[in-house]
Amino acid sequence: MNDNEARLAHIVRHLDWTSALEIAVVIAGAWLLTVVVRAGLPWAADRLRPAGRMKILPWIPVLRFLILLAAIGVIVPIVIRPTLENMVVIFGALGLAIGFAFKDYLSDVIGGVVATIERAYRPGDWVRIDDAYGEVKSVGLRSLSIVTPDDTVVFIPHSKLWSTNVYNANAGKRDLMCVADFFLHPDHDAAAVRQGLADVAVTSPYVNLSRSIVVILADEPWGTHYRVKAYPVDSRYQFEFISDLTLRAKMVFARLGALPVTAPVANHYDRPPASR
Amino acid sequence: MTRSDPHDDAEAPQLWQAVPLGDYKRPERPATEAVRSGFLGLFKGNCRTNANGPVVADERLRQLPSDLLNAAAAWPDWADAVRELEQVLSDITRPDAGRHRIRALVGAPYSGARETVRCWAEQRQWPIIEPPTPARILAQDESWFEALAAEDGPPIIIAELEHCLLRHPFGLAFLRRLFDQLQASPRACLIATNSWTWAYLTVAMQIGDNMAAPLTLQALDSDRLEQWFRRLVGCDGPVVFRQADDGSLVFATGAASAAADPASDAQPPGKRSDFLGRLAGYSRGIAGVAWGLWRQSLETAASEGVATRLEEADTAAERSVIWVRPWSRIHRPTLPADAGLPELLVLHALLIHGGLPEGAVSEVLAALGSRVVAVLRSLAAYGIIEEHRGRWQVTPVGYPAARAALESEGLIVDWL
Repeated sequence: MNDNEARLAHIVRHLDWTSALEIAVVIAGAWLLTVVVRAGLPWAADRLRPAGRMKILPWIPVLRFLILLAAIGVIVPIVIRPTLENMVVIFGALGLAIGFAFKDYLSDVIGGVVATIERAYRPGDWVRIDDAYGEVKSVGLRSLSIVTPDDTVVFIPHSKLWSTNVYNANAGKRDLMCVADFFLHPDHDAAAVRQGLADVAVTSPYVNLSRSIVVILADEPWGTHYRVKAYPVDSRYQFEFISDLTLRAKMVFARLGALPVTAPVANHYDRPPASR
Repeated sequence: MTRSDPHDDAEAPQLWQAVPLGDYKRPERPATEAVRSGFLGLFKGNCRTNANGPVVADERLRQLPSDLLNAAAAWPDWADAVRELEQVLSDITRPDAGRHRIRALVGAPYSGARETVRCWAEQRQWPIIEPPTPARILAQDESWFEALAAEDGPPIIIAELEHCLLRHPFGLAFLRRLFDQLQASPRACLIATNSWTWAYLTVAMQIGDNMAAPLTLQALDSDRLEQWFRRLVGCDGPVVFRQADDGSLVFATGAASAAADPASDAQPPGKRSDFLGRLAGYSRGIAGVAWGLWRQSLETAASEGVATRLEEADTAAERSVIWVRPWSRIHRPTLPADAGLPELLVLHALLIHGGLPEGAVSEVLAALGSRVVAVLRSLAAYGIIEEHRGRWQVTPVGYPAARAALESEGLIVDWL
């Protein structure tokens, strides 16, 4: 046996069928546990009361990461002799290889770890990253997936965290603030419209009355801009809530004789959420 | 046939009590039931079922015929409640009540609060302000307020505030006008309202800020339920209520009926059943809910294998036996398994308004559009709601399931 072979034999254990079987069992077990966590916890969360759902979902990426770490921790000692010298050699070599070949992938993985620790986003959160807005369905090793209101699944690599703002509308909570905008011709009774819009929000079947309802108005060159800010009972009903507010606000405007602005204005959703 | 005289239970605690809302005490459920419902209560689907229809066919056959049912569990007579609450109601409406001249009696649905206030006012021949129709509310009809304009006269009695509410922007404006007028009037005012309406208006309009603290009817625990059910028995001769599966006594002290001869009314044999405890817990101490389930539980015959010696002993003592279905076989309506947000919103609206005509349901739930009719039909098929005198309302026996479903979804619920 020459020197290289001797060094290799010093680092790597002799692998036989038993070792291969052990490694296969660990991988299978880790995979099974991951499937249970990825599919089972959301299933269970959907059957819990809404408050319980938001307590369970954020744990999914954390548990998946821990399962992965545990599997690596079990497999590595099977393959190599875990002495300090061996670890330095192996991880040094791995680091060099990964650094060149998988640097983007590693950036995504580290981004995912940081996002999990900082709770930048969790399953159940409604987030906007670049031009994608939707509910976080899963946080994987490399990317997160969100489902948009149009039922489109968008996969966003975690490395976006380094270069883009992440707008999180509910940050683990059950509800999120919804804003309904209305644009009226300036010739109207503003106090009556403001009271009417407050009543529209208070009487919505979707509204969460334990949170505050605010109606803001501001004069613009083309008319008066009203913004109704309120919370639905659950973030999943945000679109029904805004639709309901809009539907009934139009009844109030009709009764009060308040006319909408008809001149074209910029599409509200072209602007990032922070400016709303 | 005569009904039990309430004065026969003079030593029993007062059946009807008016207490501040904070003193309301719901009866506790038996430990096993509490553990089971607590665990299942973590899951929002625990009050739903895949069953298509409500009652199993052979159970229908065993139900008491209506004449016997009305003798064994007659329709409640709220004059009893008025008699026991006379002092409280008189204090509420005395002319020198000062800033407390507007008082509210808040009751859970089917608790009897509305009926008690109506009965009390009718006994005094005081006019009751009838609620406006939804169309008048939406039209902001000023003429409805004319009945409140007089500055002297008897107290203003509003027996159903929930029917003066329409959860609609124009409906809130109407209600504000009502309370402004009541505040401006020097007359005393007694308002009876359902607890869901009160909970909603407390948050939406801060309704309690300008009124004295409301009162409510205390929940009926198992002892007071028994006391009430005894009063509702109108059979000739002594009657004993036994559980159909094991012959255990449903009432603690055996027979019920005013015609019972105390000398011959020896304690019937048999152990005590926990039926009334379970009933009180499940119905949340609400009289009408418990009464609906009680009537549903009365049967013509015992289950096979029940000791005949009990029947023979009752026959020998000339006691009539009415069998009570065991709690596990009581049909308790549940929501459809696929009930979603539309069903919950309809239930919520019906509870807040104390029932609504079909057209008004569409007004307050405009976002549901044409789905409202289908949802109403679906819930009615499961016995959760019914149409009564032109209004859709949650049924007494369907109320516990409806409330549990709404609470698990996080919608605003009452405190009772």
